[in-house]
Amino acid sequence: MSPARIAIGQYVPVDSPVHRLNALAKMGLVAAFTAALFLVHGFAGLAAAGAVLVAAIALSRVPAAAAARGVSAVAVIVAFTLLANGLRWRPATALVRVGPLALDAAGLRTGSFFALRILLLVIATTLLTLTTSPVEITEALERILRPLRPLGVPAGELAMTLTIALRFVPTTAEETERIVTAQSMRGARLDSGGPLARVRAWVPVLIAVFFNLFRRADDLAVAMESRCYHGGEGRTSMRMSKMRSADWVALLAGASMLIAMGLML
Amino acid sequence: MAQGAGTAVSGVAFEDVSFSYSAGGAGRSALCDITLTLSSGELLAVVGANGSGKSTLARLCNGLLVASSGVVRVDGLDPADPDLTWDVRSRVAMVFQDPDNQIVGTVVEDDVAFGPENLGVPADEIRRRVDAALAAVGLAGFERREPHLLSDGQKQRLAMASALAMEPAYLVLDEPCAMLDPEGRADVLALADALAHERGHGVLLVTHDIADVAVADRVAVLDRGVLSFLGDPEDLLSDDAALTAAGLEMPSIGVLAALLRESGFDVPRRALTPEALVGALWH
Amino acid sequence: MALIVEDAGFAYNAGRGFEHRALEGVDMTVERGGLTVVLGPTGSGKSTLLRLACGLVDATEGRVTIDGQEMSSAARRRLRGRVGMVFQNPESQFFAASVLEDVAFGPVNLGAAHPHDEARAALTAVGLDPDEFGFRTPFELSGGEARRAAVAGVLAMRPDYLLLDEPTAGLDARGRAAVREAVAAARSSAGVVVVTHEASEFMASADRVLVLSGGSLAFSGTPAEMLSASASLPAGVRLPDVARAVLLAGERWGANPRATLDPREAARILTAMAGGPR
Repeated sequence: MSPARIAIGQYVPVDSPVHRLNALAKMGLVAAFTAALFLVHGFAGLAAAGAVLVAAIALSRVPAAAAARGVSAVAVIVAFTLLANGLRWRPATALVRVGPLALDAAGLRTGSFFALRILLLVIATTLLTLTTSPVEITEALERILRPLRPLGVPAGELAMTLTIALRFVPTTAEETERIVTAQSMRGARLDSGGPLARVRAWVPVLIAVFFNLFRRADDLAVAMESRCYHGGEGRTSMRMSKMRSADWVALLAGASMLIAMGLML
Repeated sequence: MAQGAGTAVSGVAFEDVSFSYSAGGAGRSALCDITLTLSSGELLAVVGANGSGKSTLARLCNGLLVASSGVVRVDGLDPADPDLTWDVRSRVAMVFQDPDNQIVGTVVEDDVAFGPENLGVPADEIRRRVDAALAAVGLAGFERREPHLLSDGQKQRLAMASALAMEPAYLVLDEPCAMLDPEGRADVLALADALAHERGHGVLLVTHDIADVAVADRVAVLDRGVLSFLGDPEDLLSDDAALTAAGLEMPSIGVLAALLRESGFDVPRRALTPEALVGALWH
Repeated sequence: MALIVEDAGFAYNAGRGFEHRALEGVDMTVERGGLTVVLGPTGSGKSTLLRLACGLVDATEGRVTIDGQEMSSAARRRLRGRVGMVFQNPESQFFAASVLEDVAFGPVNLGAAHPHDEARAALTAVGLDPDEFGFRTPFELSGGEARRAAVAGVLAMRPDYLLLDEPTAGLDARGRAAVREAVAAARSSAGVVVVTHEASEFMASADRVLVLSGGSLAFSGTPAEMLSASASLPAGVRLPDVARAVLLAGERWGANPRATLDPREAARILTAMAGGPR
């Protein structure tokens, strides 16, 4: 594993007030932040939301660059939003013209409003995953889904599935890389030829990868049964991540402030 | 807890156990008429070549497989009884060959907690068990590590900690060393030794490496599903013909020890490490 | 005619701030028909050396040549098939419905005229009867058979050099012996490099041993030279048990015996040292 491969939004394990905040509270705050973004009427509101976000990033002690990297993943969507909302059909005055389409001042304003909203939203969710370990997110999801259990939603099983998926991502990635390398050493052309040839070349890789995945799944099921896993029924959790009073205060105060901001600005 | 039939005899006991993977007993049996008992505080090595039925035997211990005929009892309990499944599995913990395919948690301590969580143990008690189990395998301080960043030997010790956290009476280790480098192997063997002889667990060590029997109290040899030897490792190690017949190989250090015995030196048959062999000569 | 690694170094993430040196100043020469064993603890750079030798990664210093031609990731396509690599747990790459199809994969990719004939020859070379095993599914082979079939999959490309990474790991005695025989058979047409942490497995038949430690060469020479230089080997490199017993006894008795891999010779040395039976 090379240390270069740090995925976008991957947990940064440092200690900060944001990291210590319960995952449930953080998810609640991100939800309130999202609501505020959709409530604000103008750039003043977005500016305020941006300020809140910058403060949160500073407080979280994660490198600003890490938070910003999430943006690169959605750059295309942001650009599209900007253009889709900003372009006008043959306007009288224009800043830039592309054939009959053009960007005028009003269009630019609308476009950047929507684009900024998406940017802020993406950075906020990235900050959530940067400061909250996958395990904590899974636990919080289980907590959120738990009230739905009487309706037949298997909250515990869903959370367990997610945990196992997370656990096997690095293992599967390593194995896939090994199979790709080995088969290309046996002359498989995975990166040349036409699209059809490439698809055909990848078939042997995928068969091998899936076969190994099924074998792993089988082994893992046996290992889990041996350790008495029988669904969520009667399970306890070592890290009953309790919402402490500080978490409640942060959630309620923060959420009401954000909603108020959204309504007023 | 409900009791199985008969009196609660301590140990994992096999009586005339046969097992066949094809239903109705057609085809060759994977195991044929096995009778043996694993007791607390004992390290019993089960050796055999690939396909000798070792792993089948391991999986019969905790009800992952159910005997086609004969009886398996864990402290008198029947692993095949659906009401007793989880009771039996909390008494007989298993560790498997591939270190990657048995780790559930995304961080070390979560994996160790997995078993007790399934058993419904209260949170603070789980914490205590996790700390104790990690300390027992020498992984204290690794609580927040991600399993894929551990060495294979460490992963296998993690699997042993996860088994220990269920506080089992017995541990079944199914070829735990097969995929490890020499250091990892030595660590896991030393740990198996300590679990049986210092902490009093009954340990069943499945292996294809004859050198591993040096730490065992008793050894069982499986040859194509049949128990071809059960007894003192010393007796097995003096029987080259039996080893070869079962597809096992005397390590060359064992050959050296045998040559020295022939020339009249008193070298114990268990002396299968250079240290043990030279130690015996020095006396 | 040889695979030559000259003063080669390799660093992961070179020049990116979090550089990790995996290999430094390593020399290796593998003649056709020769067997070089590379020993060293986990993380000593063994696997990186193999990746360098087959052009999967480019040396950051020094160079790699195959029969005089420069090897690099760019040249790999041109030289493909010349250097075969058997990765750890090669049976995880099986994908075809039959062993014969799987083994023929390489020859098919290389555009061989009769890929199935190549596959049959390779299966025979590793001791698997093509008529018995060729039409079985590779997923149901035993450990030793599967490993040999995977080696055949690489041999079928008729490489001039064959690199194997821990080829006997996880196998029982019969499986290990079968793989040793397959490696011996491969030497009739190729130069072979085996990377292993199991010193005893291939040392007796090797003509050259390299010991890596922390990414650099701690020893390079014949097996006999390695046994006599054993005192200077880095910690973490374990000699085969018989040799270690002889050296350990030498320490106890204050003697300086010549280490050996042969139990009979070791018995003679130990008997002489311990002064006969008491």
